[in-house]
Amino acid sequence: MKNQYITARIRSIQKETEHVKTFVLDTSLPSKPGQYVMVWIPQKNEKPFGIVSPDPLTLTIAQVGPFTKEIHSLKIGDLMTFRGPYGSSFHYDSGNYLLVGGGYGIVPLFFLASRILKKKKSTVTVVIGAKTKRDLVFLNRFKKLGCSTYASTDDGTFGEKGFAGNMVKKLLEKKSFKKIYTCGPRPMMEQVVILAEKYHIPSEVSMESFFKCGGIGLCGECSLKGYLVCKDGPVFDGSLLIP
Amino acid sequence: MNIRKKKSKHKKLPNLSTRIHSLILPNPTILASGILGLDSASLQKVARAGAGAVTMKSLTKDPRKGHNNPILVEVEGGFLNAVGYANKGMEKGIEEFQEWDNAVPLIGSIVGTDMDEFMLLAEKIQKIPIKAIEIVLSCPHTPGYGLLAGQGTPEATENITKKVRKKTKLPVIVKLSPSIERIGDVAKAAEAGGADAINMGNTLGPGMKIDIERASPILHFKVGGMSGSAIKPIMIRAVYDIYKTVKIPIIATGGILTGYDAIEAVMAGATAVGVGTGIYYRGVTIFKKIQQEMVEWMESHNVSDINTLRGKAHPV
Repeated sequence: MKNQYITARIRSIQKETEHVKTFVLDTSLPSKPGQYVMVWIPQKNEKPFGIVSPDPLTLTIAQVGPFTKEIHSLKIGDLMTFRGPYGSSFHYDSGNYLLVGGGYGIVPLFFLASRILKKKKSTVTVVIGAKTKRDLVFLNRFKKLGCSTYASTDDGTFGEKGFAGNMVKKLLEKKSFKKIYTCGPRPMMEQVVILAEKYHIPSEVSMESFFKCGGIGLCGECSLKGYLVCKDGPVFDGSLLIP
Repeated sequence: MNIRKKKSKHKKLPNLSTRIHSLILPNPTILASGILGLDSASLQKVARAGAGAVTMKSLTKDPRKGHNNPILVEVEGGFLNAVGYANKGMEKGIEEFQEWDNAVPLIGSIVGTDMDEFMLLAEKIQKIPIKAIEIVLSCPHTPGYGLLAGQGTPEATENITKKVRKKTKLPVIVKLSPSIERIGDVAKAAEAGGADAINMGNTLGPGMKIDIERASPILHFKVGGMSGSAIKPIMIRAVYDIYKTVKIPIIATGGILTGYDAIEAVMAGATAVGVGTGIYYRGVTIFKKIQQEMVEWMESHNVSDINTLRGKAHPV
């Protein structure tokens, strides 16, 4: 039987920003970059979170509502229960890749970057966009990993002022990439995919959706153009977003 | 070798087509309600995968958020679910499905809290180009609906069916619960109320799954209806009992995963089979696979028409 719940303890908690925390569990989970787990809090709810690192299993969670507030109240040593991994994953081998994340959307791309950089003769360039400096996450983590990083904020409080897409445009004028991966708000991903197409670069997107059965693929809640985001996704070819 | 090839080329495939009143099914597999039926694109996908008909997820009068997660949990032999009728409501449902033009018939599913609501919904849902109306009187996990609203009795079944019957010329399918004792009486009441078919049926239960590490039921609603292989023997028995008491066609839903399951259901008395949880185990191509298996079995047993197998497990 698949779909079993696994209960682990929280080994450490790192505060990324005022509203974002990273939870490291005392277990590992064989999984691929782009996949997610469903985190369950008994009698509360269950929601999907992208895997940041599989060993030890690491999840970065933004506090956006009552459920994530509940998760943020957890302490070191507390239990966390999840099932997974679920969903499709990013396709990569070796080469020069561009990763574009908007807001917390950058989180699942960290796992991908760490895997690409294990390949020979590979580089990862990362563009992180956020509304404001406070919301910029993972910039230092990507730097430490060995990625070239670029940051932009909508209000100019950090890095370049403007949208991440504009930053990508500038980069593509100077440099080519084997593939572009993006995760974040849909308008941003659409812009990135259209740019990629213009420069004849393949792209992959990681979609977000409300999940109910979450990865099992029976309820149909996350249906998108006939695909199930929870099972056929969350990673899709960029062409999905081209009108 | 060549001769044999030629022979098989000309051999007629066994007939799988069947009908439920005016609802003509090219094959007896029907997508059960509640599986992938929230939007038209998903249903089109199932239709393309070879289903004989598809049923939309049940629509309620007003939008419903449903229960919190988890709404579905895997257990031995299947799944427990308590979705709580999460849907966008009748008005949005009409918008979503009114363009349905697929060659595969669409069955409109409705759930109401009482007779009047069922009547209203039956009237409204006909704005969608559906080929039959399914009324669900058997949900085991949503307060105000189905079993939890007392809709599983012969009296309530007959009354609700009568009201819906008055509102439509389309075939009316009544979906019953396998959890009810003396199911024949309830089926008879549906027939008396004017139903054209019985869907046997809904999930079984309710049941519960507890996570022992967290000492908590996993489903947010704590209990849920059981689907999958584990409930098939109970469904088969219920179909068998219903076949003895009514003359209208029966759709067998519950644990149908293979063509052999489908043939078993037909022998118990079913005209068609509902497929839901099976999609998890065999993918959306399950509809084609069931048909292939049925055809293979029929060919090896010299059966040329599925309709001749109906009720065959009953004494002559």
